[in-house]
Amino acid sequence: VSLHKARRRWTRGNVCWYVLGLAAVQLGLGVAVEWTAPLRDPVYRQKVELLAGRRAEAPTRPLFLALGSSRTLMGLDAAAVNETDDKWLTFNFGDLGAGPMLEAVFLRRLLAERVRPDLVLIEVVPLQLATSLVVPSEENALEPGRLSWTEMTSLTSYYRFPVTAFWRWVKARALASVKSQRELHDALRIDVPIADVALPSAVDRYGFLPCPPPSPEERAEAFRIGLGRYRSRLAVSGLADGPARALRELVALCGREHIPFAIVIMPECSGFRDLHTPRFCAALDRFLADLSDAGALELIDARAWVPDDGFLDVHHLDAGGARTFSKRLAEEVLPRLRRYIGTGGSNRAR
Amino acid sequence: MLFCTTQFCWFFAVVFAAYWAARWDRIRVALLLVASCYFYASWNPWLMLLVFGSSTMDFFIARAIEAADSEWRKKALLFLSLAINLGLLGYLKYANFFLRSVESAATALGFAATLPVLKVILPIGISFYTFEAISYVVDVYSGRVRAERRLAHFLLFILFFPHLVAGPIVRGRDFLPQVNRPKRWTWTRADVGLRLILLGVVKKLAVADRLALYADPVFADPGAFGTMALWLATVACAFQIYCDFSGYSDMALGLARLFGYRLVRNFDRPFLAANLSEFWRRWHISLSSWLRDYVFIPLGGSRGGRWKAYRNVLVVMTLAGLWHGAGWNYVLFGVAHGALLVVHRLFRDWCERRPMVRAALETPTGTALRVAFTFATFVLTLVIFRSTSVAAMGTMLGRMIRPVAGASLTLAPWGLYVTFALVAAGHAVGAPLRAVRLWERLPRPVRGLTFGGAAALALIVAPPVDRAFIYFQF
Repeated sequence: VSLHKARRRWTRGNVCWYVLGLAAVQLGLGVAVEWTAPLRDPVYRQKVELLAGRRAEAPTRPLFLALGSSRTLMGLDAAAVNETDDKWLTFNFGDLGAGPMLEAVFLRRLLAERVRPDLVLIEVVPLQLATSLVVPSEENALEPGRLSWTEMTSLTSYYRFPVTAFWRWVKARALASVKSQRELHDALRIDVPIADVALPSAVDRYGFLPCPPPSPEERAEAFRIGLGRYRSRLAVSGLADGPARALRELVALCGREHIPFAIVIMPECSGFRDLHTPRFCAALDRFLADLSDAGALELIDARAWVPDDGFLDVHHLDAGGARTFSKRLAEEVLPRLRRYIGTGGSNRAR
Repeated sequence: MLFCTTQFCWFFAVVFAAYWAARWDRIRVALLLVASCYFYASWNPWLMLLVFGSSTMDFFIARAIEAADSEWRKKALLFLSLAINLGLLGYLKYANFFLRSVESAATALGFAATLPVLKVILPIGISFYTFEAISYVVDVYSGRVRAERRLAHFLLFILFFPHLVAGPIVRGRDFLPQVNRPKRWTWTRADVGLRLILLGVVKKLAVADRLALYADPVFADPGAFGTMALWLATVACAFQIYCDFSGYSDMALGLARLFGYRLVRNFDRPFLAANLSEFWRRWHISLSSWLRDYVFIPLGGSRGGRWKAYRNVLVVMTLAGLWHGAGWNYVLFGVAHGALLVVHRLFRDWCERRPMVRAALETPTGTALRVAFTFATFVLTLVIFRSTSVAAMGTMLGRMIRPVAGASLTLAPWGLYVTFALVAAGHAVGAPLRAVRLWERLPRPVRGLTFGGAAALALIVAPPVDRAFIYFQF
């Protein structure tokens, strides 16, 4: 009996050690991910590396950095801007689902890495400010695992559900081998294509994600789905508190760091623009006026800059639409912004 | 629901917790049965009904066979069961293959024939559970096993989710007594079960799924690749299929062990086999032994003279090939292996009469050469198994045998070499008892960290896309 008991204790101990071993390895990986920026946020890292490459090619050109969501990512063809206006180095730092919270994180990280933009374009997405969503869209889209603990804690005041966000962050770290699998896999450099079979990169050299134009039928279908999807979300009267505060804080950060900035609302298709209620538009205008007063060089309302046939869906531009928008930005707005900076002014125009 | 997915982990956690929380074995059996039905229904609920229905029929037929008072009645019932099982298998798995083959043959003979394509869905794991049901009914008929009295127990034997979709092919006489036995939680079970599951996960995610990245592009376009790449891809394919299937089997064994059931081992380091006959005793053991017991021996086995034995080997191996899939490449694979087994028998008889040759072959060098030759033979026949067409098979075999220049592998091969070394090391230390002894000699913290590290590494190095187990299609 004692032998049996000893055997039972022994095997129970084994199982406990397996569980402990699993937990320890996961914890170790979680710590490694937390401390290694490229593992934590490879999207940001890729952009920073691309930016460093472009800056090395044109070290004397002042940096014009566009921060924004997928609308900016797919809508600002930075190469086209640079073709039109070669006095600046324009770079697209947009990211899928990004809003003021992630934009502020990006800006802080860049400043910490001594990358100091000479001009920042901050995108405002009215949809992200709408109160209709239970979870604000950026809060929903932002993967907390991309943030360090410090960044996470600094953002929680903007969250409507901070506990959920923390829980998602803890899960990302505690299950690093699953949640950061792709990053860890890439870091190991195993099963990678040999040098002459390079994989195509989604974003171009200037951080822009070009999307081929859809067929008219595909576009019409995307419009139908998009309008149906956003109709109720935009049928609101006020602005959500968290995203609005985050945007104000981003603007204040630029002010504190003496970085000139402009605000842009990216193009939207005509049907999508019509979804905004007059009360929401009025609240948005008041909010944007406040932001402008906080030091914005210019408020660029580009919502109607691109005709409907330049869109991929209701609020994302295809490559052609992006080129139209970017050219106009380079030709009409950039020279003006440069003049303001040259005279050292702020809040010059609206 | 694949074993290596989050969905399955949650499913298993719930079933496992409920199973051991239940106080009565009847409830446990019912729970496992419901869980198994849910597991299968997650693919297709209608096909679940089909499996359920055919199994229920087998249960009652077996009961009727046992109760039958005359031999002809027993035989009639046995044939009924065989007709139902093989009829379903034939219709669902092979009907379109048959129609396509007839159509091709008619066209080749100059007749313009257009036969219909049947719109049937192949139930996942049909070859496995059909063979299980047949073995049970045949065993009841021959008196090797008593007909099960409780339908739930019989259904659990067929539907038990760890082995339902890709084996191992369990026998009623092994499994049913276990259902009746009361279950008690032991930590040994958890220890062994977890180790087996980890082994399976590592084989599947860290080896099989990764090797597919190397093999797939080459098999898709063999004409574009050079001889070296073709050989590497074929060896990768051999290891991929082995680790995919044996990984599944290990996980099935481990999962079953956690519920207090023992399933038969399905693989025993097959690439150490010194001849093809031994290879088939080490590879997919549950199928090989099934074919031996229910086809080879009833056909006469090795009795009745040399030529009859050769015929029986050819028949069995052709069936083994066909079992793998409805395609001529599988049939050809089976025929090739049958022929090679006949050649091996002839060579063995020849060696019997030459003691010096036999002694030389049994030296360590001779054994190593035999192992290498067996492996190379299997790898070459795998080209038949894996190729998408006869033309591709010819191209690949031709380019492998006659050195030609061409593209190299699309991925940097160091990952491939490391993986080959891993499989070789697994074979070297993989003898179950030796491996367990080695494992138990390690200090516990090292064991724990090794366990955690292996699990994490398997998850990390796995390609980001989930791949179904290869043997699901069979």
